[in-house]
Amino acid sequence: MRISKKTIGFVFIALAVFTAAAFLLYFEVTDISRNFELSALKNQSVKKYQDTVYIGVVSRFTPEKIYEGYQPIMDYLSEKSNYLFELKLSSSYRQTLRQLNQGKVTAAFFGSYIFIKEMNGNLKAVLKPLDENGKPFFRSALIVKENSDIYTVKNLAGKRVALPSPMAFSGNWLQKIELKKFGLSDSSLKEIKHFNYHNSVVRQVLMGNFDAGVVKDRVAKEFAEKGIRVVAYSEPIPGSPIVISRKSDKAKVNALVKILLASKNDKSVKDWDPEFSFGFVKAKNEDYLGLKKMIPERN
Amino acid sequence: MSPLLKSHFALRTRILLFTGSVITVIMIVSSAAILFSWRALMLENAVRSAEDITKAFAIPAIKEFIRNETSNILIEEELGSLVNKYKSEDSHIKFIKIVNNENKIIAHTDWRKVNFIEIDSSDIIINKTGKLISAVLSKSEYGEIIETVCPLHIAGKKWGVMKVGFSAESLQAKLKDLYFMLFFSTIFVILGALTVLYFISARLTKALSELIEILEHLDFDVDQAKSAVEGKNEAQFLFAKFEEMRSRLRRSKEELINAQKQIYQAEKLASIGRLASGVAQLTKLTTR
Repeated sequence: MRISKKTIGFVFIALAVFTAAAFLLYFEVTDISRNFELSALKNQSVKKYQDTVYIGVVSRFTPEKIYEGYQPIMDYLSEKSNYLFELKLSSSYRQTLRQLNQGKVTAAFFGSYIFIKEMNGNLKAVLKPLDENGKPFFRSALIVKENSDIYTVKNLAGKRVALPSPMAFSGNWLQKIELKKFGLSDSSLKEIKHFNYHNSVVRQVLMGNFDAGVVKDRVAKEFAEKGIRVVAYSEPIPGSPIVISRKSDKAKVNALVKILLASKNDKSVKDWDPEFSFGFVKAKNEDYLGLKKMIPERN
Repeated sequence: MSPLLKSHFALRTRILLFTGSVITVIMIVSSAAILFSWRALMLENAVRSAEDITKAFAIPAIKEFIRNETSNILIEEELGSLVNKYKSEDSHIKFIKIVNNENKIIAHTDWRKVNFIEIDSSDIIINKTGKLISAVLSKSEYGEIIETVCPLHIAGKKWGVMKVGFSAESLQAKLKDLYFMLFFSTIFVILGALTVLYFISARLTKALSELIEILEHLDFDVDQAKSAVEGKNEAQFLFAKFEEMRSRLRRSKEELINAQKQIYQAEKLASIGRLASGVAQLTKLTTR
């Protein structure tokens, strides 16, 4: 087959186009650079706040867990007010108390027990959380492993028991109230140990290091399908209050109270710590007097 | 090949050029589509992997910030040793830095850069919006890198951003390998297809070529035939030849009819002649 000049020309042009396309493709393929896509983010407006309001939290959970459960409350408060609400963590219940007394925090998520212990003219309960039934109470729960042979408090004799902080109601209920009802005392138990956080108590029971433990009902509920069984509940106790001090700024407190009181009708609160996701009601110091009477000063 | 057609686009050449071009274009487009799909996948995987590693790194960094809030630790020291540990565990990491809310670098795998104020609009935007974001950049110090910027935050609480630079050289090398693999595969397949096409076209046009060869040996005016096939392929050439044959037949038929007419006239004249001669002969006998 003889090839004409036209054919050669056509093939030559095709080869030239192919080579050029191959080079272009090579540079296009190997050039992987791409910039940050900030345009979508730039449009998100950032709110300016009048002031920062620090809120304390007793160390009933690990700091990470507190941030996960409580920071959404701060974000909600910041969104609904002109203040930027920020958490101020502490390493102990007493540190939160000091922060509040010293005015370092405007308000604090307190425990009911530490509140009744430290209740004085300086501290004032302003809000308490509602439970899933719309009642402002919580209960402590005696938990064991699912396959445990403990079915009543009486079975605790000779057993090892894990408790949360001695500054929490759950850290005192068993020893100061419940054991007595069954004719037991601390000495009836093989071992009692306090842990910093409620979740630590659950972990210790699940790992088998302790035979039983006491936690808040909301923690027991969280682990209900993860190998935990509840043996007994305490009487309903007034919910953990949000407490302010005399030094607290009234405008900031009012904003906090107003927003949280209205939160129970808001669906966005489901991301909050389960203890607070059913809303709040107003609290008075007198609400906690009954609890004070319930727990003797000394065992 | 007919000598008449040697300087023109023969049917076979046209088949080869047209079909070959179509095959070549289809192969190039398909290869380019595959190449870009794979490229996008590889790039997406590399970026996602970088983002996942960054997210995993961010968790202990956040824990350090939280720990700093409950107990006074030397946060710069803690984060510094953390980022250096990460870097030593992953050879793809070029750098890690942590920038706080005041845009100050509080930890860097290169200790000399700690305490520098870095005003980077992307950091500020990402810190405010709380979204992890990534880019592929070319930096004089590190070369081609995948840079991720991860906000260090829990819900609305923000401590700053963590920036991690991952080497993108291996990704580029993989893309180059992929390119050349597809390039040579494409060339190989095109050449193979053209070779097959070459033989198929030869087979398809064989009968035509043979017919033309036969026609070549018939008595034609070569110059006239050449002008008739100017710029034509075998089929057109054959059509031209056929038309020429038909016109020649038509001419032959006309010539035949004319000849018949002439013969008829001649016969008629001969009959008249013969008649006249007979009459003359009778007249002559009568007069005698």
